[in-house]
Amino acid sequence: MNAVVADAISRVVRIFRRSPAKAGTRVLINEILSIQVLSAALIGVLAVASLYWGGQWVLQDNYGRWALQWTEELNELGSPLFLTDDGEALLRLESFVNRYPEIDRVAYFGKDGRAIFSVGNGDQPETIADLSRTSLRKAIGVVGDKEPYLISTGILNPQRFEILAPVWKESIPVDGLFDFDPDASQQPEKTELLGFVSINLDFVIFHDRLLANMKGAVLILLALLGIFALYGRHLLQKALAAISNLQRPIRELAKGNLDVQFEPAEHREIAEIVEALETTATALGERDAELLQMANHDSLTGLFNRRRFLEELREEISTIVQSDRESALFFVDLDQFKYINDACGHPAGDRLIRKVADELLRSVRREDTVARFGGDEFAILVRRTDLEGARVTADKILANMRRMAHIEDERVFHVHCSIGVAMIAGDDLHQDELINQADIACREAKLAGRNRMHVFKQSADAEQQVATGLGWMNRLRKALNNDEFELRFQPINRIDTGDTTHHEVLIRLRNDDGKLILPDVFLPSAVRFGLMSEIDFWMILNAAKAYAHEAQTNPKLKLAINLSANAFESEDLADYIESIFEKHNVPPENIVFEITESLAVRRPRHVERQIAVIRNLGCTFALDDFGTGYSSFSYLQKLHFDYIKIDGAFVKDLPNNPVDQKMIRLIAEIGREAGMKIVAEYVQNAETLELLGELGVDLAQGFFVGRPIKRPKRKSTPISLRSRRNKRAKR
Amino acid sequence: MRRIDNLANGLLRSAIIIAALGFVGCSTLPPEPEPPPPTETVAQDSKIVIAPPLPAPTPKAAARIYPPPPLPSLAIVLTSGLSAYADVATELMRRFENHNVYDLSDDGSVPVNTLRLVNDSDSGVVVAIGLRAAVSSVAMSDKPVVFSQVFNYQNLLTENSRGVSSIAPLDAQIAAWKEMNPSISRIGAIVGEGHEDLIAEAELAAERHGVELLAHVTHSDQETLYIFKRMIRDIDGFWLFPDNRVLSRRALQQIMESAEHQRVPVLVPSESLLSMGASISVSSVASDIAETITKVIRQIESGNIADIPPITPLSEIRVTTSQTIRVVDR
Repeated sequence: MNAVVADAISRVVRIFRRSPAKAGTRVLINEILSIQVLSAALIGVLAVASLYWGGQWVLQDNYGRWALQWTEELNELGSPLFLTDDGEALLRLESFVNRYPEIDRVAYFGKDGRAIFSVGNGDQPETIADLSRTSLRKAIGVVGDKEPYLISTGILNPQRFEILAPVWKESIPVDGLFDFDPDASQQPEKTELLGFVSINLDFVIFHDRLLANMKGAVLILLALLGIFALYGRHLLQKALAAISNLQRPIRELAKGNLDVQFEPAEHREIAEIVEALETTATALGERDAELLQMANHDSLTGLFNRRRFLEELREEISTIVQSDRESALFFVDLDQFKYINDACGHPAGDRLIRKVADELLRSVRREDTVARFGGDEFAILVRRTDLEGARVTADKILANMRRMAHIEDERVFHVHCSIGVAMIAGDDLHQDELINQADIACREAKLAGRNRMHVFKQSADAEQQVATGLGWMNRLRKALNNDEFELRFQPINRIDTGDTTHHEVLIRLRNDDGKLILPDVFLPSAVRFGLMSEIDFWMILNAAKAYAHEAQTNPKLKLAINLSANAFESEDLADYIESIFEKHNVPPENIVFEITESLAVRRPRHVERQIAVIRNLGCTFALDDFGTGYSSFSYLQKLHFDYIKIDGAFVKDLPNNPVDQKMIRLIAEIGREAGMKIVAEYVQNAETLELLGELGVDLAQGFFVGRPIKRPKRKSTPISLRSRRNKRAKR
Repeated sequence: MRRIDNLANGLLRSAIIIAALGFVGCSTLPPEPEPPPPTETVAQDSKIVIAPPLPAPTPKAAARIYPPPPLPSLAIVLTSGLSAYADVATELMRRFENHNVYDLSDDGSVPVNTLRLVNDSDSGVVVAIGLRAAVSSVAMSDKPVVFSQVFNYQNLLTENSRGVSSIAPLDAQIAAWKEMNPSISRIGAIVGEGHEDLIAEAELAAERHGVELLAHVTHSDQETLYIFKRMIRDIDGFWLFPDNRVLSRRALQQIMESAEHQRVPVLVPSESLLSMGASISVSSVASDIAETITKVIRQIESGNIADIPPITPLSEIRVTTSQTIRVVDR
């Protein structure tokens, strides 16, 4: 039983539960109009119902009044019939009844309830039933009352009445009305019951008329509702036209058309919306432009970056394939740039790069495209040119570069460049192949003594080189697609206690012969072919998976993951890290991201913003390869890192190099003052480790501390500095 | 304050009544051979005029004048102590030295015993006043009976009984009404069964005064009402006869209300009905009744009872008007 009730309730609930409408299927005007029409209809229905019930009530009231009036008259009319054999009275009675078609039947009964006769309109039964004893008793009971009648009506047929009234006569007892006192109402009168009259009334004709009128009223109401709906729709459309006018520009805006024009609105509310939309469109446009700029341009020089240049190259190749014309691809590499960078510092290097970029732009035509590929590498797409034209352009670049003098710290530097040229012609072209060709040609130019150009020519050797470059690219692509990279975990230990604080995650590539390839071998190709960002993302994902797996048995596990500059080219980096960590339940505070000193020092705006977001997640950051010459110590105070990893170049010959020792001591002191922990890489022996401890370095990493291993160690095997000293003494 | 208002209204209404009566000439009806009896005022808004007796019929031949025979001893049987009965009895007692009065409404009075006493007495004639006294006397008296103040006398007329009309002379009633309201031309009347003579006399009286009478016989108060409601559209005056058999308090009230609503003046036989809305009351006078009874008794004593009409009409009327009729007249 309960189940049946519960089922019924759930069905009702389902009926009334509003299912979510499909997006975009609802129409505001129709809904407002529906509400209005429904409200009007509801009011109309209530009005009609009220009219019906009011009319019914009035009719009922009138029926009652008429019924009683007629009863009174029939009572008066009928009394002679009981007293005399008065034919005239009968005629009067029939005339009276015939005058009112609503009177169905009038029947008179004797004092004993016996039927005497009846008269009525329409077909009448031949015989009339005598009054029942109950009716008789009740009717006698009302003789002399103020309301001397019994009235009954059917619930289903309220317009039919049956009235039973006693007929009696009264007379004043004093003969001749002598001394009749009208005010003495107490004086009893002589009462004589004569009989009874029963009246059947049928007011159905009025009821039918009422219903007919109601039908008419309903039809008029419906017509008015229809007119109201049409006119209301027109008015609503007019009133909401300002909103409707926004549909098209908003749709355009949603499509990305930020130049959309909004029509000025008259209504204050709509005008505010329009203003907000225009502001939004402007802001979106600015942000779009900024993102586009960031996505397509090199932040230092403003030139196209690698990604955008590759798009341009792809389009050019497609045009060339269709139009049968030629273009040229230049690969430009600065000669001796590292010397200036090392000698004058990184800012000086940046200034030089910007100057070179300007010079390159000045050296080519407006239709040509210059891009910075990274570091001191540039690429130039020289359009609509043959080999001779390419040579002329390259010579012009070389000449301009030779003339260019860069003054830094009152020192004058002349920067030359090597240019590799690959001609874009024919119909079997591929951008990677062309870049590889230009790269090879550039290396040939460098090999030939720098400050020159070299045009790539097909030869067995060149083909071999191209094949090698393309081979790496395909190999890396395949490794990414098939998860052929492998992770290794190298411990980083505290020098004082020997405890492992965390592991650096390293990447390896398994060769076909089963040997592991170190990243130094394949990462340059990854950078050159634009795969570095994908490798970074692969590292994040697989390091998170490994963490999730290992953390089950090693909850204190902490990992350090390397991020290249290319990883920050993706705007999704922070979101990606957050989603991956959330998915694999990786606590962000257990992850350290290592970025190179060059990237950290330049800190382009988009890199800085993403670092802030990742740091907000709870992750920490380490400055990798510190001391390789790009930055000064003053940067350490400005950069907010948790770790400084001293480049291995300072460590590998530490015991024998007092300069390195002083340098490391200085770094350690500055780092400590700045609240950072100092990590030394490339620790190969106990002597170095001991020395690092004495110099104030906190953590050590290297083969002596621990080789890269397949799984992070669950427990460190601490070797304290003292025991290690003892070890060394024994040795 | 309210009492003062009522008094002021009463005075004003009296002044209007007196002025109106003077205007319509009521006070001059009929011509006065001698100073009229003093006027009685029964209510502040009504005025009573007692008309003088009708002229006595002129004797055909002036023979010897014999002194009237002495009046017999009289037994007066009263139905009750109603003033309508008692006043007549008082007048009779003034006229008859030898009389005995019997009141049927006295405690312990049983009509049979009372009539036995009457029969045993030396009374020569029985005067029965009121229906009950009349019925008992006619049924049980072995002496001539003269009944009065009985409207429904249908079963009371025997060889040994005669009656005196209980209502004022019809001709005089219409004359008085016509004088007060000359525009009346068609009047209605309703009466119960057994009053064919009354209707005939009324029709003749009406005809004499140029008035059409629509008379109906009814059998109950309901029928009276029904007939009245239908005739009221066709009449400009209603003559109410005091037939209690076909009148009830309710019927009287509705008749008066309808008449007032339709502005149809009603002539009633009793002053008490003026308060219900009637416009004019024409009633009999106790002394006139007593005088008429005396005449009938003299005729009985002279041995000519067979020559005496069953009902001897009266000759005087008492007219009382109310403000209503003035309102109607306006």
